[in-house]
Amino acid sequence: MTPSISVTLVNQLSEVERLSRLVEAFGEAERLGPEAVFSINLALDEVVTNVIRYAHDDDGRQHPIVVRLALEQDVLTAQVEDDGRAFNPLEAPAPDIGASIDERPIGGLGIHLVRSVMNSVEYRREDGRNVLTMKKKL
Amino acid sequence: MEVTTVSHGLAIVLAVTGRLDAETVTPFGARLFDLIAEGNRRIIVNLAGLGYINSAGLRVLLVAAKRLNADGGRLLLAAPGDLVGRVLDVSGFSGMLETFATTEEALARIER
Repeated sequence: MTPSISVTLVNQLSEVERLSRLVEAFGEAERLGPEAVFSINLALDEVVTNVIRYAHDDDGRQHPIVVRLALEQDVLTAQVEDDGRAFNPLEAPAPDIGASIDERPIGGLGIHLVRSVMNSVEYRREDGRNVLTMKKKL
Repeated sequence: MEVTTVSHGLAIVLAVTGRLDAETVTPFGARLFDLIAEGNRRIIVNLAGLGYINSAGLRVLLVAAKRLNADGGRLLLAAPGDLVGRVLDVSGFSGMLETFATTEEALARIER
């Protein structure tokens, strides 16, 4: 059986910490190690925060965000699914990490961090939902 | 997230513990920008007790660094742990902002 968990969050920033506790518990149960748990938490934090901020155009309504984790052999798959407007976080501009303080633009950091700590990140739009799938080889 | 500040003559050390994320950056940023408004121009952020930082945390540090730079000041980072240090490395922040292994080393750099 593939160890997995599925969590439905509400689109509020306070949910990110609740998610991180669930990820930590999963990480402990599956003995993933602190670096893997940190990486997965960071990637999910960035993606879920972006979804909460940008996917629903501030309509003030509650929206579910479904996060799934699955461990298969030594690959951890983390998936974030939401029902917001079409929004691909991978299209955010890449930051210039060699820039000086004055040149460095404020944006672009979140997705860069996601790509740095996860091995692959894929986006698709399906049935009116955004689905972001990230994989990490452990 | 907790912040404490200690004045060291030429510089002020702001120690932050816990997490820097989308929620905690608000009180952290308020404290940091209060220090700047009070006239502090050499600020060392002691990261020893920080267990987690995300892009929101990086962003507030960058905005503060830009603000200080514009006024001839500096923001220095000290004592990141392994995991926070990794985030600083992959984001380029450890190269862009002066980062030291200890607060003492950061103070020594300022006092030179």
